[in-house]
Amino acid sequence: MMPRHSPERRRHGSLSSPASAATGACAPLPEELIFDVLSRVPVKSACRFRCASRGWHALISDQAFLAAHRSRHAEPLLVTITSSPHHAGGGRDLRLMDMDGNVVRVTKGAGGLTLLSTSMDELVGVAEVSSSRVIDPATGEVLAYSSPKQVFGFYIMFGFGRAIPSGAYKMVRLVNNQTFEVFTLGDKNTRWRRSKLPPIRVNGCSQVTANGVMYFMVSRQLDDDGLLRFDLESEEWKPAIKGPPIASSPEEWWNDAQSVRIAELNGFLCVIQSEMQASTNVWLRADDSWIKAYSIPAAPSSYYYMPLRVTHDGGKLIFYCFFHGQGHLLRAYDPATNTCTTLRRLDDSTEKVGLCSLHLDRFVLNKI
Amino acid sequence: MATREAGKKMIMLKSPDGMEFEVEEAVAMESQTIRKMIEDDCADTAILIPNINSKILSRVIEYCNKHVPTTGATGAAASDTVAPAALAEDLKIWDAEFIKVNRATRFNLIQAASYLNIKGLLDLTSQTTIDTISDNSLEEIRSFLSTKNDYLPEEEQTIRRENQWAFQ
Repeated sequence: MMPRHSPERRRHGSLSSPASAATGACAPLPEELIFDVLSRVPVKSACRFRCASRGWHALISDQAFLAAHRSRHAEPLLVTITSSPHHAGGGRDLRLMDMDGNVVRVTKGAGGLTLLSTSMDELVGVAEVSSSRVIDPATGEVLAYSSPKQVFGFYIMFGFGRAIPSGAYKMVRLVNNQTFEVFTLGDKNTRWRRSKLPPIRVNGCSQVTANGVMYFMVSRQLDDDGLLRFDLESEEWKPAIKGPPIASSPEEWWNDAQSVRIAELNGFLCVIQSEMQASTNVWLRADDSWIKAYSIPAAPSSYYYMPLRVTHDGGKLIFYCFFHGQGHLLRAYDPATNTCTTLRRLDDSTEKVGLCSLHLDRFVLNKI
Repeated sequence: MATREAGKKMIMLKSPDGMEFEVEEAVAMESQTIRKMIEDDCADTAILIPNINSKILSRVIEYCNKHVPTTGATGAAASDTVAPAALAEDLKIWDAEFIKVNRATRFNLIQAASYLNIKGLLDLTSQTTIDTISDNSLEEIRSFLSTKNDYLPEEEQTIRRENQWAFQ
């Protein structure tokens, strides 16, 4: 490695470090292979590489390139809400990560108490106790903000999702079961519009949007039309549906031996039923019926199982859970072996974990 | 399978520098380009592989030999007794060793994989290349992949500001 030896080594092109490249020791890759290589870089590097040259800037903004990049990076990004040490009074940050745990972007102060958006959304919706906002995770920009309502002793519930087929993002809020309002993102007239109240009272339930329909779980007695449906496109309430056939007794709910939540998994509505010290069952809604898709055995001292993603080969279920003494973990459940493995530990400041369907086009083109 | 073992069909591949490689047809057909030639009956005697020298071609054949679906050297029993996960793990380790080559060889392998249309090899070579450089400085990446910084200084400043977050 003595400096005087380097010219000869360069002539033979035997160095593999980037430093040798400057000498032109080997022929450059043809353009179509540069395209192939660059389409494999993660989003963050791709944005940095745009600064390399005009040619690369043009390439990385090109529709064909963006489509290729999208197909190679089809998996959604992880979104976490983390408590921020930088803010007095409990501010929260929004963190974007790839599935390997590499941080893509942190937007300070953009987090909230709950994460409303799902893996199908390109935008992130968060809610506080009485306010909500929509954030573009690519830029960190707040696209919509609903200011806190003066509702002492009142109860506000927020929902967020994308209408189908228009693709419009809508936020809803139900205030004290007395008003139900809808807000369409990007409307010129950005105001909350009154809409019809849900057919029955909604109290402290779980809520999620899947395939253009917002679901509200209003009763743990799911076999009793426990899931309300609000169609985001027509803004109409549809007949409620029954949940999966889950046998449980009110006693079990009271002592918290069982918890039932609704969530979205790979675009489908799912019901997550956790039986303390036994297993977490994931029921998927497909073709108007319920399928018990996964049953994850419970590990000792673990809580709050949240399925995030079925892997693209369909083999495993990636989920989040909290382990006493080990913290926030991303794990994978393999139904073939009925075992779980830990993928990685998330930061201790993690409060909420979800996904976001964010691709390079949004970073490069900035707007939808 | 045993009957096929006995009468394996062989194919001759020729590099432009005059070397000849006799390989099993199944191995050669890991390349979609060669597969098409064989299926179109354009491969009676020997197939000339243009632009890929013997050194690179022998590496490509080595790769295809390893990746051809079993009943290979280890025998048909391998796939029955060894778990698929273990086989995949073994291949991964082999791939990692295989790709420990200098930049010129790697670029040649990328070009060969692209020309011969061997998806696995293109994935391996391209992805490894990008994994090695994606955290390097822009200057290093420019020289590694041969792109010239043709921004005016003020242009570069603006574009860097716009993508500031990606440098953090």
